[in-house]
Amino acid sequence: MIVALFVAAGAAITYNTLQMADLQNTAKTQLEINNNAYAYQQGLDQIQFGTLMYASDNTTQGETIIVNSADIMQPAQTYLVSALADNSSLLTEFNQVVNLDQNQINTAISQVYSLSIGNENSSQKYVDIWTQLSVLMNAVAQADAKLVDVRSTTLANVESANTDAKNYANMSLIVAVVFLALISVVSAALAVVMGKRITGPLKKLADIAHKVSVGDLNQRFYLKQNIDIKTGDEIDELVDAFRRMVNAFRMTAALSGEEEAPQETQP
Amino acid sequence: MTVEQDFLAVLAEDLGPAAKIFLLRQCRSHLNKEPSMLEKSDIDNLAKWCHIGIQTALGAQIADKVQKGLLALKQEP
Repeated sequence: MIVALFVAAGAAITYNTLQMADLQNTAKTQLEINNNAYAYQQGLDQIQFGTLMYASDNTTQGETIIVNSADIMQPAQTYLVSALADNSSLLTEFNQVVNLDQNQINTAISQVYSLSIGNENSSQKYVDIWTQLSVLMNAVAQADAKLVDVRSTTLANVESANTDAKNYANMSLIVAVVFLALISVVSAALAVVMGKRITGPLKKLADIAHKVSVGDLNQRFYLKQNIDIKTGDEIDELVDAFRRMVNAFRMTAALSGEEEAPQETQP
Repeated sequence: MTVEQDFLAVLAEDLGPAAKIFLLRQCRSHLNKEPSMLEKSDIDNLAKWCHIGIQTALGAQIADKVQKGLLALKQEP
């Protein structure tokens, strides 16, 4: 029974541990998604900043910033498309961000490039550049908002996984305490039962031995009545040996008495 | 093993250390011989006297058991 309790407790705690490991993996994945979404968001902000610098005649610095942002965004996009494959709502939201990037943001950047490198120096050129910059900023703002949604969802998932993991940890603790208490109670009960099983016959045997020791050889009969318990262990052997010893006493006493008494008669 | 040793082995199961003196007493009193002189042909007679002696001192149950054990010695080679 104690072994069964140990097995049950082990199974329950192992199940909880496996669940916690799953939740830990989930939280890790969600955090990586969150980090990559943040990287993509930073990349978009850098593109916007680099384009503004380019339009402000800081073309070299602007180009550098735009190229660097692409280096950040490309691996983030690859990871997010793969990691969000089993989460259709977040994938849809991220695809909308990618569409904004590819259609509106890249188009606006190209337009700003074209307009900026033109020789024309009219006020219309700056109006057109400003128009494209407005389109760019608007698209980046929309993409930012969607990426914030993605990040909020992933952070909520991390929080939920952490809460569930804490619940499983608490459950493991409760299971361990409950089973420990059960095992202690069962062990104590078994100890009492086993103790009585051993000490009961021994106590009776000790009482009878005491009476025999003061000459009451009729204890042979009490021995049979009181300690006729087959425990199947060393106590049986002890009781048998004691019976034999009492028989020997009685036989010796009988033979001593017969020396002066008439002998047994033929049956 | 000799017949005496066989008898002592069976008697000692219930009589313990009193087996030897009991056997000596029964042999001398009823067969007029020493235990060391016992033969297989004495088994029936001696088993009977042992039964009587044990029944008197320890009761019929033990006497029957011992007699059965002694008579079984006839079957041994």
